[in-house]
Amino acid sequence: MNVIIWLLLIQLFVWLGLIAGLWIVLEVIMLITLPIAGWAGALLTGAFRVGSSAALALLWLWIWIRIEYNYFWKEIRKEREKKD
Amino acid sequence: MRVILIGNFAYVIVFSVGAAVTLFLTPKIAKSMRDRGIVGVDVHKRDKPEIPEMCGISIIAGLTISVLIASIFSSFMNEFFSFLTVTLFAGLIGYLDDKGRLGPRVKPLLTALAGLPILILGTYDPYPVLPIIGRTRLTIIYPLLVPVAIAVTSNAVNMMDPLNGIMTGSGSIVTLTLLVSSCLLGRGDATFLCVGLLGCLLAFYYYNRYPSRVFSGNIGSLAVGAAIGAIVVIGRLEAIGVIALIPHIMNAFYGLASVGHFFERKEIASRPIKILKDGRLAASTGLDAPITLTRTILVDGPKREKDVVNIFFLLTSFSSLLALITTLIMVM
Repeated sequence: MNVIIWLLLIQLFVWLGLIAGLWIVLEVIMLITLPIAGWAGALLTGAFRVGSSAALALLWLWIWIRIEYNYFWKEIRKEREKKD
Repeated sequence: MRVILIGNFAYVIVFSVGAAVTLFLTPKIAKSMRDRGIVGVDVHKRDKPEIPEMCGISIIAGLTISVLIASIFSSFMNEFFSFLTVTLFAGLIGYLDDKGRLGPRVKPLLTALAGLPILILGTYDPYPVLPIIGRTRLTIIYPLLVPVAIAVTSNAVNMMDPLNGIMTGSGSIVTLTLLVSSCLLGRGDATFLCVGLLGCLLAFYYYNRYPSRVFSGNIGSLAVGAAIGAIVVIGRLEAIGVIALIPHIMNAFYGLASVGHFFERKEIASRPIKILKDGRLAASTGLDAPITLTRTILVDGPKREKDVVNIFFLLTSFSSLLALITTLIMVM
């Protein structure tokens, strides 16, 4: 695939991921309350919200970099084969 | 009608003053830098010409004067003072880096500190408006994110200065996007700041474009990045700023992910790009060279430097288009 089209598609993925991720974090995860009463429940609910939001962000970054690496090293291999 | 005319007149004045000061000062600073031997080698040219460094001082000077002029026409004194302090602080960090190399870990920390004036002067709104979601309440986390935002934007713009004119050209496109968004969303403070910054960047681009006659240095790129970050925070354009800066974030993210830590160009043993005998640029096929956006652009074959620069502008224009679509979603 042409590198320009590839980079434009990656930008589209990042944009959609950003908007969808923000929606999931603020409209879904932040509304979840663990069924535990008292201060321990509030603490665990807070930790759960922060932890799951961070996990979602890391998952998004991981998918992004994997997609980039796969394309990049495939093209590098092609260049090397051309040279050989 | 009269109020609109006076408002537009003020924007024209602020833009023109910033552009005129930068246009006037850049060649003078370039001559002074050359006389003092403060030059950098343009490593992507076959004849390796020496280009005056640290000429980004003219952007800072132009921006300072244009914002001072803007303060005559508006009542955003606190916002403008906070913006100028952040930009000047980042410029000072860039100056220290140009003079003595601050190190890859110290620079992000210091640029985060440059965001403190926004917190001290309280020129932020912890209720950001996000696309689709609307207004959100982030009273605890938002102040913690302000220094991070300034560190990310200043360093991402600083890292996006690999070839002639990319920093100023892509910075101009991002600033124009923020300007249009601030107009659509009615953020008057950000509109004035964008107009001033755009004038300075376009004027500097005239000298910095391919083939460069001046280099901005870290002083220029860190100040411009911090200025964009400050506009985003002060003008409450957070989501739009992040989206417009996607190519800058991609470049920084790929570099950090492939090397595994913050790094300086000089400490990298294997360069990500190489120059061919015919002057074209090619991606390094080495396993230990960092993956950058420039290397990714070159991965499907060698290209002329000017073509690579144009691809950078195309990518920034596309991210700016996405940012404008986001603005329209927010307006609706």
